[in-house]
Amino acid sequence: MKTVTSILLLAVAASSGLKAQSDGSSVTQSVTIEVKPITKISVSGNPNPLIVSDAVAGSNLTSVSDANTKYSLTTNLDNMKIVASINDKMPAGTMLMVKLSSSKGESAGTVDLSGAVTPVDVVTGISRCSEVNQSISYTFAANAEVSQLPTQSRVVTLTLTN
Amino acid sequence: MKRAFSIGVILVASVLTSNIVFGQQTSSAVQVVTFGVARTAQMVVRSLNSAPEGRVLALNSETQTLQHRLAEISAKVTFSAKTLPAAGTHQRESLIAPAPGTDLNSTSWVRGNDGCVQTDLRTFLEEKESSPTGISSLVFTITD
Repeated sequence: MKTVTSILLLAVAASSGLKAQSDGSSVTQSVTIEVKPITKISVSGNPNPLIVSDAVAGSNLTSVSDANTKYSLTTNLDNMKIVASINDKMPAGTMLMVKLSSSKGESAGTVDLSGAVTPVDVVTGISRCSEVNQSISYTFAANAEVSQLPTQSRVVTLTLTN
Repeated sequence: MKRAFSIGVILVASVLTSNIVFGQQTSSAVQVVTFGVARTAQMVVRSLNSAPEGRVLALNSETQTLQHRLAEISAKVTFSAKTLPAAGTHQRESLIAPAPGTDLNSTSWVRGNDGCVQTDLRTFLEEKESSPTGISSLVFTITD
């Protein structure tokens, strides 16, 4: 009788164990995701020095250009634009102009930065895209009244903004 | 506790306000642009016509325009001829004319200064038939 009871008890325990294993176990995790607004612009360096060293007889304005630098940008926002400004006005009788190419936006063409202490539009209509190695072209011009101008610099800031 | 809670509310409110007021996403890159103007001088003769008329050779050059970035300029007119015309037989017209009787060969015609940006030179030469065979060239030289 004792043996039978023991066997029965063992059987019940064993079946309880098996049932516990077949129930399984699970856990959950809550994963939070977010894409923040992205706005990035970079340039490849500084343009070569723009030195006017020749005069064109009969022409009041002589100019020299450089198109060796590039810019790249990434944005996941709509209706972005690139504006340009200069840290100080150009000397009298001279002009500094810039032209940015764009495959995704609309370039404003050659823009006069000579007095652009306040930013001016150079590329508009940029929406959710990336652009790589787009051309930047600078033109420096001096009229005939400028007899000689020592080499100097200006800082041009390109800003990607909405 | 109340104070800490109040400060916390103010901080949260200011952060939310700045996002709403500015609402701008910007990224900037800078370039340093170096420029300058060196001393230069260039002159070109726009046209030079020689039109023999009978026994009179008229050498008529139209406006020559020069541009310079020099402190001082001089334009030198020299010409080649089999024999030099006698002084006084020539007529020439320029903005700054040499003195009458000046030998035209290797003579400074124009002398300007910093204020001279563009100078128009009109040169008119007329040779009498008794003069030499002709003028083969006119050379304008700008120098400082």
